Amino acid sequence: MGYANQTIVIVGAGLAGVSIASGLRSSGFEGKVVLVSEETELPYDRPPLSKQFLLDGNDQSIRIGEDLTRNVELVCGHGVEAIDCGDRRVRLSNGTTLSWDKLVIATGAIPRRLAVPTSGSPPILLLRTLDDARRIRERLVAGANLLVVGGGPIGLELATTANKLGVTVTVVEAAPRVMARCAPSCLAEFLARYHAQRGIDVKLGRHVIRVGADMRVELDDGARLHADLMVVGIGVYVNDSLATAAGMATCDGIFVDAYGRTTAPGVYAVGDVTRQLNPVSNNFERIETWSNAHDQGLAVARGIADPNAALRYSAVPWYWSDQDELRIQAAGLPTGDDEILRGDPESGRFVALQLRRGIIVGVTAVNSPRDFGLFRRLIAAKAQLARDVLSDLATDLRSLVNQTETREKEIQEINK
Amino acid sequence: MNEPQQYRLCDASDIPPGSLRSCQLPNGHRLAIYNVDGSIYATDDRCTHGNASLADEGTLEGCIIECGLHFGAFDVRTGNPVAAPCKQPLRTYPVEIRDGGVWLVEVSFACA
Repeated sequence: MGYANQTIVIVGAGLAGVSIASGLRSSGFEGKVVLVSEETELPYDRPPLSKQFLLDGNDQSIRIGEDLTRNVELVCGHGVEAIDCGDRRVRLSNGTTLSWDKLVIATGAIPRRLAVPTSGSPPILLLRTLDDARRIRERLVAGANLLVVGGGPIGLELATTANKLGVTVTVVEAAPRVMARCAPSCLAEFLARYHAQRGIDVKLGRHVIRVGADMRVELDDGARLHADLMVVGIGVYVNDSLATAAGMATCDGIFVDAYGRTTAPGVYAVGDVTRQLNPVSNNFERIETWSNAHDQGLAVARGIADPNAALRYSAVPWYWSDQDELRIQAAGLPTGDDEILRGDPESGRFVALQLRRGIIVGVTAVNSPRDFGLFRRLIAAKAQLARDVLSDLATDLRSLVNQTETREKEIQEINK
Repeated sequence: MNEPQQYRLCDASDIPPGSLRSCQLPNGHRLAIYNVDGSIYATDDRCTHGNASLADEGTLEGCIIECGLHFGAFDVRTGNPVAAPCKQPLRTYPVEIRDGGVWLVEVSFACA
């Protein structure tokens, strides 16, 4: 280890970039680490931006990487404009250049804007950065009308937080159900009922077609509503243009292998900006989760710091979403060819398993963290278990996991 | 106030090595109690990051308690966070084993 004379430049100081910096130091990398952020903010964690931060406005409690301040050089307020892989340099927006021996791209994603005609410049906000969250927070006062466009996890978390603050909330989702991209329909239906019961007006299969002066909003079914504030959470564009321009293989994301390597020598990428092999689907996908940014960052850093200690990163993707009293956790794929429901959704506590050809490929859990952790391990072990064993609430999941993992290890030994 | 000097949390036999459980104080506050190779430790039961019970929903491996909700972790001996997203330390409580019981040593915690 060591590489004391090397410089590693990390582009992007979100969770993935900070995890790389942190992982390099904890893996014993002794060279120079430069973290470049286009924001003027010190690094922060994003999950609280739709929840706790909107309630307490405490930006100190969401800072990350504070332990790095002494041994990582943070360049704030300047984005990277170009990557030169030949001369191993990056050019910043202020015209300066930085040389690197290894480069890590962690530029994340950019939220999609609503493409509808507007008059004037109505306050249509996005929720990605701390500044976005501050602007939203200022306007979340009791009695205000909030229109959330997009019923994904971020939109629904924002809706429940605002509802708690006494704001009147309407959610407009273009798909026929909420969380359409990341949740099975049993969860989507449960959530739509749950939020409606708490006074959130969830309009499914509807589009905003016009935003007029004074925030008069028109939907495609002719409905008109008034909002004091409109927040759009309809997904993201991947921020991979620097890599594409520098000649790396990209296609809606930078292609990386299990060590975070791009197709350019010495250049790595981590987090939301990557397109990587999902071990459950066996497809190259973008995995836009907190856990991926964190875990992939640490794993890739370890391989950069010491190639002999490099480990393949092939974690089962998973995410959480906390919505009011619901603690939602999901791992693997949201759909399969068969589904097993454990527990009654009306009890506020249930688990849905997704199977493909009899193999567990997905788990979605509501208020069931213990079962979630065990099913996540069964997905990693590609467990094939009898349907009645999985659906029986009396099954001892812990010993099932132990048996499955032991068998998996034995098979690996035989194949060696 | 004539509070007892110590508060008995549970029987020592209720918590074998490698296990964890929760205990409720008279004021309703819940603690998580851990047995790490015969040494008993106590912390707040609620994770400092998410709305989760460490005793009911966490996993103890050696001296590390991993929360089952977001998979952050703490060292139960010190309360220090050892894995993100946990960041704020867990409050720890001094305990001792006596007369077959696990006792909270400083009673002010129990009445706070």
